[in-house]
Amino acid sequence: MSQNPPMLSLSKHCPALSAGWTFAARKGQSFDKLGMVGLGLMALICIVAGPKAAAARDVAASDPVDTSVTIYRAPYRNGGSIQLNNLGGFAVVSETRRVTIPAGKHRLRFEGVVDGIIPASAIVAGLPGGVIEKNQDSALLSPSALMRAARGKVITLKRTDPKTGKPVVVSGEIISASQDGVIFKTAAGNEALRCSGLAETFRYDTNAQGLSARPTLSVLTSSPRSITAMVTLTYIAEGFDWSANYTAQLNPDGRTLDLGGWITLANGNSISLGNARTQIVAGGLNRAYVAKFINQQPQVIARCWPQQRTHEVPRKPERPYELVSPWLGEDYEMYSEEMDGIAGFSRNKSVMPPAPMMVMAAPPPPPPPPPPPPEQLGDLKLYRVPQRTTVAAMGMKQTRLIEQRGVPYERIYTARVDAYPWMRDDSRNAVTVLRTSNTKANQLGLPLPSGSFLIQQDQWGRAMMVGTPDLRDTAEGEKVELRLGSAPDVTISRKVVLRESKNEKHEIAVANAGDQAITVEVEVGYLGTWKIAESSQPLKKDGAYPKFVLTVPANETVTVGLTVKEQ
Amino acid sequence: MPRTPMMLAASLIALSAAASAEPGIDITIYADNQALVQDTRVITFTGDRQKVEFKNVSAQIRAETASLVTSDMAIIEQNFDYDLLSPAKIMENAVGQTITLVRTNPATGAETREQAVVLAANGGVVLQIGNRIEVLRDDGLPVRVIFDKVPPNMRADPTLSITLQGKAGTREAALRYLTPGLGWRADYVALYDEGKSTIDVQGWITLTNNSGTTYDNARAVLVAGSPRMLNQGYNNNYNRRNPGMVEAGTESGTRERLGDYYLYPLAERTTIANLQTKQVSFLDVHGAPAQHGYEIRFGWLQTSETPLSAATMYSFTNSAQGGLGDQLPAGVVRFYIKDSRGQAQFIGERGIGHTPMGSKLAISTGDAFDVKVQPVVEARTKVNDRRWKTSMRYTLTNALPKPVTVQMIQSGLWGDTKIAAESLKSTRRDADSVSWAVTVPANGKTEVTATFDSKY
Repeated sequence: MSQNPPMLSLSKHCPALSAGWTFAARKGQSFDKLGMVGLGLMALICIVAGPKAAAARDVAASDPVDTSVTIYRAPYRNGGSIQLNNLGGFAVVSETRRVTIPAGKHRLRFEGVVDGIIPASAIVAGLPGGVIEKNQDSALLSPSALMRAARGKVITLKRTDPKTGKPVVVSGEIISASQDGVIFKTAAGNEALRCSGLAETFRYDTNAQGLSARPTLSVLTSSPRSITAMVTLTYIAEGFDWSANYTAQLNPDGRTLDLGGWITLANGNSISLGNARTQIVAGGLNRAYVAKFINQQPQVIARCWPQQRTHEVPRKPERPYELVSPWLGEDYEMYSEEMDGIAGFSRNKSVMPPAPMMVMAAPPPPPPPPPPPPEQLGDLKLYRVPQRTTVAAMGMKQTRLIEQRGVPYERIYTARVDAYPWMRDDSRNAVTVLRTSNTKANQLGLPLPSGSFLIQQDQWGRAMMVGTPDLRDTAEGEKVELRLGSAPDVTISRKVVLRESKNEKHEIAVANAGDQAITVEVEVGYLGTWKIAESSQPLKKDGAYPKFVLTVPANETVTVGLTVKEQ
Repeated sequence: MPRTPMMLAASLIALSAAASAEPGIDITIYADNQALVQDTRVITFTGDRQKVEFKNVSAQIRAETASLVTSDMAIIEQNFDYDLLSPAKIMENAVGQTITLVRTNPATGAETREQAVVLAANGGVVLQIGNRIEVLRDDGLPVRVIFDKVPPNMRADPTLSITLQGKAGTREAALRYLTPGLGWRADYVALYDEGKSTIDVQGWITLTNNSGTTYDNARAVLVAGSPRMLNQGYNNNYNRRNPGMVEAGTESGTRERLGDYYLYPLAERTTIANLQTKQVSFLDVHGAPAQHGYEIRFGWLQTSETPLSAATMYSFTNSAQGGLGDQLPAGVVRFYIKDSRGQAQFIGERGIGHTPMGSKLAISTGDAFDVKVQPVVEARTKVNDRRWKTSMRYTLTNALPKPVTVQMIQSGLWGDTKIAAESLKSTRRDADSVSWAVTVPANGKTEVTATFDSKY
């Protein structure tokens, strides 16, 4: 290491500011445009002072004057409901704030950022003096933090005179403050706080030792002259989520349904985003999970020892701080690629069984204007909430996703038989499936983000729930299949009528106890080293498995035969 | 020269000892949540045996790595005390000693003081006051206990103390130790321009301090590389993988090196506060060419009941020519794209490993909503006792209003698996996999079929 290490960032990458961007930010007439357009501005790190650290004074930015929030879904969650206290999604928050910076080097503080902020993702745009460094302190102002910060300093202890009950002020020093208690020193000697049985506490001077009351991000900036500017701070924050909830009302004609969709978005943070432009992004994004702070701010608990009881056992000696390893992310994925504390993340792409799901309450009636179609964002879909809205702390909000009437659908019954050799005879109910395709001809033809369905039908003048299936991300033109549940009137029985060592004949009987003719699709599942040698009816092979497509008249049984052979 | 990390650390110490002339903290931070701290302080040596205390060392200090370096001095013993001072601890240490009790008369509030000897502090405090034995606070009344002194081995914070003997005089001494809890990685912001097929990339060094201690006004150097540390578990015993890297680079960067590692010194002294995340810029490149593509990979000859989304891929290089022109320390790349109103929106992120200059990268940001592939095993036919044929049908769909090309990779072709027939010419990537570049028309569908001839 040389004595004067070469300046980081003074290498060949001195920012050649993209002319277009500088322009946009300087001219930036509307903050809409400012948005994150000025990404390129942030690396003005060339303007760093010499290696001597000048004393930087604090300057606070205004509260946000304009906020935009884009909410992303928990990567591993397709349908189901969301719980406010455990939101796995995240949001990109972009805040425009007014700053006035005097000439010189200053620490610009952005107070009240969303507490779920991922500090490494923060981007500061529009600072004429550039960013020398960005800091995020997890040490927030709290009684514990105040007491720990005051250790070793002379402070004032306010006690109570036991005779008069009047407060007495003594000068003292906090020697130790931890979760096991507080020890302080006065002229009388060393003692523990809370042993006198009377009110006693410390009084601190007004300087809160640089602790912030609200989550704060700060940047070190240097400005040649006093300036006032609009600065955009953009960052990823966790503790958000959204879900799509669809309602399908089956019409009495038995052939069409009315489809409505709601987006429910939630903010599980303690900061409200007021009057914000709000967007939602649908589609599967990769996330990289990185190590997080596990040690929280040490807590101070003032307690006397021993308390009134004599049997209290002292705690065993412990290591004061846990030696923690970084958290390498969770294994939601099938293949975890892990290096350098960063866990790769790829969603499990195989078909998952539907998650247990809560039935959402029927949403309120829709507002008049039909929701606009989503915008293409790379390979994802961006939905805009039409008007500015407040995404309140610990709050949920619903907005219209789609509203389509008279969507034709087909009701079919499906089953998969395992004609795998050596299987015993069995009998099962078919599963009811509502099938349509996501096309303009079917009154659809728009991207449908994954979510859960509430399918209902009117009976006796009231709405009845007939199923709550899940939908995966469905692009335009794709098939939509909503699995409702088993149909007790439709039974599929499989019987082995011939069993030889390398040859088996199965008979599949489809019984319809309903009073309508129905379409039943019977799939022939995985056969291993065996193959289908013969079938009494042609098998359709357009899906994952070959299948019989049968029309079964009311109150009748249709039987098909299937011969499988070992190869 | 053997390149064990401890050797590297040692050589670093030797070098920096010569260079460092002023008191202060120098920190060398490795990417694996590990740092070497050199804490230079002025010590007045008495010439006799003396005890020197270093408060504010890392709360997670690996005490066994601590060493004090100065001239004309011998270390007699070195202690790391982490028995933290608490009301219970101070009482346990007062066993056998005299303390002062302050009692308050509940009727009058008058305070009385008396001396007591602590006999035991096992699950309660037994005191001897004059000729009688009493249990502290057994009557439920509050009693203050005043201790004359704090036991010398009890600390408010973890403290390293060194007993030493040195030639009398005032000299600087450097305390060096390794500590976990300080680490760094890189964070990249990549803005992709769809119209121009270019990316702008900013790189930030992200430093995190979880060590329990604040380092004031420190000089920090970051080391890109992963020296092997003892007791660091499994993750240092294998060669690091870098899934985003398609082709490793062969260009040398201009940054300073330490052995096989690149060094990133911070330009200024900075205060690294406990529980702080700090970021400093190190890379800013505009308009590097990048390609947007799609990729899907099947691990074996499989049937999927539903279509699977292809992965969105962005490919670029960090070569000096037509690329980012710098080596990339391991970290997270976050991709953004501008929406119709010009606001950059996040579209996904991915971790990368240490990437030498000149490498080709292909980074997946997530699943394409509109581009999907459904693989189906159509038939498995026995050819003879040793060979089987598997017919695959891949249905690719594209709901975008423009044609796309999907790199479809079929791997899991173990043994001597061959392609017997295919509807589109494939490329053999390696022994285990083939790939097809399939073009799917706008709002259309393409089917690819292939028959594999294999042992099973």
